[in-house]
Amino acid sequence: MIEIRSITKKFGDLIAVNDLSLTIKQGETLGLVGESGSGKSTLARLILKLIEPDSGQIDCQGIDNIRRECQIVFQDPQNSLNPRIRVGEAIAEPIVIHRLLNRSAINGRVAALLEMVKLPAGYAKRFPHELSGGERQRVGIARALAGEAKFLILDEPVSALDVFIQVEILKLLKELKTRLGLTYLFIAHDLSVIGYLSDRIAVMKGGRLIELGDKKTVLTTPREEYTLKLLAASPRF
Amino acid sequence: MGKNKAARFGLIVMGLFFSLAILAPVIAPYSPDEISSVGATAPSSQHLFGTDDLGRDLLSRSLYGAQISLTVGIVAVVISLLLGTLAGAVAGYYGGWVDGLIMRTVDVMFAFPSIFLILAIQSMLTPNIYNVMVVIGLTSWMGVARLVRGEFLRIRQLQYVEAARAIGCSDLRIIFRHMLPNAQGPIIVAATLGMAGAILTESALSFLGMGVQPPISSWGNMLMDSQAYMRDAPWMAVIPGLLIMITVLSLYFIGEGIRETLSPKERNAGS
Amino acid sequence: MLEVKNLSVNYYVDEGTVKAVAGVSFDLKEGEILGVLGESGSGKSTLGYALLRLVDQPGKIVGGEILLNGRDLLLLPEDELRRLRGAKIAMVFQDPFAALNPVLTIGEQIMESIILHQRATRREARGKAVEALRAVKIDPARIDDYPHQFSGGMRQRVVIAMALACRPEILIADEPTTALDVTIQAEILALLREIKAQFNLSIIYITHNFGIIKELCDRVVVMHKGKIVEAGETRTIFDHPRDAYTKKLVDCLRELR
Repeated sequence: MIEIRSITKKFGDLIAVNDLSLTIKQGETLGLVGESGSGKSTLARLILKLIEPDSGQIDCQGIDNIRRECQIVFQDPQNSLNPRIRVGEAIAEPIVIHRLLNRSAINGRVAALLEMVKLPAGYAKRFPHELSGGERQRVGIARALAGEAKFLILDEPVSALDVFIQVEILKLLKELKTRLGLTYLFIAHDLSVIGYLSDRIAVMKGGRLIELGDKKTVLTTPREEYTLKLLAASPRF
Repeated sequence: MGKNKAARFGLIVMGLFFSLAILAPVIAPYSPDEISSVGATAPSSQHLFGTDDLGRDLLSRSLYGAQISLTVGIVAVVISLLLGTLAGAVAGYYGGWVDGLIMRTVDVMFAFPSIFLILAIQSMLTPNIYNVMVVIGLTSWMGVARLVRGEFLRIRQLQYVEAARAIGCSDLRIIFRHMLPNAQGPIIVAATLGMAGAILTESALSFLGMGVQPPISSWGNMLMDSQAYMRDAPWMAVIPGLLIMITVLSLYFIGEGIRETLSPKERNAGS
Repeated sequence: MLEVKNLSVNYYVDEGTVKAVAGVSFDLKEGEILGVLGESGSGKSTLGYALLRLVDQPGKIVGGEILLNGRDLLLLPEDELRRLRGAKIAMVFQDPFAALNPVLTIGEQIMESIILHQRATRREARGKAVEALRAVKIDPARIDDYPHQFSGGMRQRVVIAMALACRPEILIADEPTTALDVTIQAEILALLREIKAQFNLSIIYITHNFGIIKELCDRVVVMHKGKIVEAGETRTIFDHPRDAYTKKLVDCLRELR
């Protein structure tokens, strides 16, 4: 579905993404692991065409409008919602911008989206600061799905949350994927969370893709030493 | 806001002054231009603020003067806010050479001693209340521009701005719907302080004869008239001077009060 | 060695009184690493601050005893308490970027604590600072470098060096690795184990991450809404949690596997 070919992106002297090639298959959840500075966030922005690569190409097959069909859920439930805009309006914004529905239908759609992420319909009138971190993340997910996106980048969506909420959100994401037939790119720095959702796992270091394989292999018998180091460092149970 | 006593005082005073200024035609006991033969008299029951050298009632002149000062204050501030916010927003949002160009313009304008610039402009025109307002507005937008730019630089990094881009918002929509509303705090504070500054500048200009021209009374030109009579009729200077001072102080108090209310809330958003 | 009895801390805010820590009792034995596990809002950080009487407005310690070798810290006069802070009990905070003063060299900052507590001359203090840097595996030649010249993980090591400079008996660590990458975190945890052995420290490690507790801590107390809901050996608590909240926590963690 998404083909990344030899992408390179530099910021001044710093090479954030270095000749990276990767294919994200339709319907899969690809887990992307990397520590800070590995380039994973830059890659996410390149896929969404929020920034342009210096060389290389990214093909999104079957997608006409990137801004509508490819969406992102951010890490920080604190800052990813405009504090001055009510929850309902924030969720409705993609619908409004892309003129998907007329006014009367929007409220209905917002209510449906809130239900889909298991939030009460009355939350539409609330402001972000009236919601907990986990609830704000759900709003972020609802917003990402408002335009009927097919591909979702989840950029560390649960890192800033407590363990109980982490599991709830991950479960929700899993359910939504099956129900709506989505494709996910799940970015995290922590291997312990990646295993829950992913089909395949990719490991990035210093802007390069250093390992790629199906979940089981990467988590139990990785090829790369760095992956082993990551596994060892992630507190295991 | 109710907590801050000074701010409350400021609000009450400004509310009072505004009301009195609007009602001036109704409540002024005399016409502000009515010359009489009594000459300068001290405040009395007939003339609460006394009279000036031409026998004109100072209370009435003060009321009409309030109209002038407050109008100039508001209009000048509105002009400077519009210009400054536009400049700061564009500079802060786009960055790059646009930012550089705008900020260098700001630097250049700051380098000019504004009072001299204003005097120079006024000397080329016929001073009246209209060009006073416009000129003050055109020379005081720079501070707002820097402030707004700073806020935009800060907000630009917050994730909800990136989220807005990701869902496809146009630049204009991001600036007006997502960034400006979140920058309004410092802008409001700048507005109150700017108004105080504008009133002071107008007073100075009128005092120098380059602002509102007699016979229209402005607190500034009342001060101008009072110069020769400082010893014999000190109230002619004290009254407008006090009025200017109280107005400016009230505006400062309001500005400080708003600033105080805003800071903990902005920080609270991060707990 | 450290006995906490019925400690309570309240926060007085506009909306009312929050009982951040409500009647907490536990003890810290010599040479052990005790974990304090809790989610955000459980009161674990407040507990850490309270142990050093660093609780600030709008918070207040309202009850209980903190007995360090028999002496109640809550009854000590301010100046005696200050002599303890840094010297007997030291604290390492979460954010390595904020804990260091950007305009002083790391040497100066480590020496500050030494000079304050041990009346050492500058040369003696410098010598001890070098030792502290060695203990945290930082090249002593960097003693005159500034904080911005170090990465996050190394800055945290500097903070640990500062905490160790006066050879405290107890180290309180409040989520010291949360802001760091996983591999760096593993190094810091290994470092803590080493210095504990080398300096015979007792450590109180506050975190929301059960994985770290399992790796590092001998015993653990689980906090929820200001109270301790369970306490005991780490292994036991994980395998056989008794309290409902702890059970829920462990179940969640198992699900993620």
